[in-house]
Amino acid sequence: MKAQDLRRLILPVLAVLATAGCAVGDRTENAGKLADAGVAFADSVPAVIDESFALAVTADSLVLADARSELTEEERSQKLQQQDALLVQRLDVLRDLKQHARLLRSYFIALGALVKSDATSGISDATKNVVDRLSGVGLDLKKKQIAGVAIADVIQPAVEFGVGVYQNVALRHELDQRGHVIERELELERAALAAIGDQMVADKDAQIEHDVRAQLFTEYVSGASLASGWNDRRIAAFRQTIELKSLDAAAAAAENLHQSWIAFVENRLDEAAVLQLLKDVDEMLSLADKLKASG
Amino acid sequence: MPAPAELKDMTLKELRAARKSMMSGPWKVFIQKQPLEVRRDAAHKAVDIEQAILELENADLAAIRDKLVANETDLLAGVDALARARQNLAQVQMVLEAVGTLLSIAAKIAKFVATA
Repeated sequence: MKAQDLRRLILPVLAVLATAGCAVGDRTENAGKLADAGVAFADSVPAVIDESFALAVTADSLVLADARSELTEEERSQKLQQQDALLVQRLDVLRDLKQHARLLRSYFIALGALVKSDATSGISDATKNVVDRLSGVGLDLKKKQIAGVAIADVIQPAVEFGVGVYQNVALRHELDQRGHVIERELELERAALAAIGDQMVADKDAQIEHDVRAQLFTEYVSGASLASGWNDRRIAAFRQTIELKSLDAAAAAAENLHQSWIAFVENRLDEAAVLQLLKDVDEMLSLADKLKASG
Repeated sequence: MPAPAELKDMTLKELRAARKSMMSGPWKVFIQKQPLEVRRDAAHKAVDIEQAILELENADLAAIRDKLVANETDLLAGVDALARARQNLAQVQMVLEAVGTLLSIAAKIAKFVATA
């Protein structure tokens, strides 16, 4: 084969390698972003769970406090113990859910460590080192060429490509083995956070009803006159009702993470979906921060 | 006929609505005007509603928790598999570094032989 023919062959091969390299890069890059979103999601879960428990106890306390004056001491004792036992049960379940979120976090960290592995640059540096050392023993690869292409220029990108392929193969193998397990896992996380979100909205709504709206109502109906600021408190009550929707942020992020995982396994996760996922997880992080600050 | 899960969701929704209603201003105004027995009955019912809400919510979350726990073995296997794949990559780097060191020793020997 003449040098000219070889060059003619090498150029399309390099072009194919470059294109394949991009495809490999996209998949692993998406996996890296998904792993980041998964870790951020798992990090926010405990704050949401803690606040859900605080809201459950508050709603329960309001009911017990309202009923107290109409109950005998014996009835109070019995009802308080009964409600405490149910809240202890809740606490056990929530503790398990928090512990499980830590395991999910470990999975996404391991996924991120594989696809964003610094071994890529490490191996690339090590390869450059080997090429330099070979030059030191008299085999100067920097000057050697095949069909007009310097070997040293090809080795390093080839190794990087090889590492990318390895990461992609390892990723594909993992998705074949456990793609459906993680899908089921994220669906269950979605279901848990949807149930917790519904509970939080209902408990917070009951609390607003009891502490704010009922007061406004009785002041208006039975009060001798309306206190100053009555309108401002009324506006605040409406605003609080609207803000209840933000308590669903965790369930929305869980749903998006679940759908993004399915798209990722089917290799159709695009940039827009990744951006939306990161936005939803960011909203969940804001909710978690807000809840931590208020807690 | 709704499925059991739908029935549970509908019941929970109704119970929550009843609790909210019994915390509202109109209810407070109404109940204050009732005789003692009616007020006592309402107090018992309010706590019973709250108890039913907690029980249904607990059952719902416990069912999900059990399914998540059943997934834990597979999840741990995934963490291990990903860590092993990552280690294999790191080993390639170690081999290349060892080769580099070996070659630098060879270069020194080659220089020594040449000048001897």
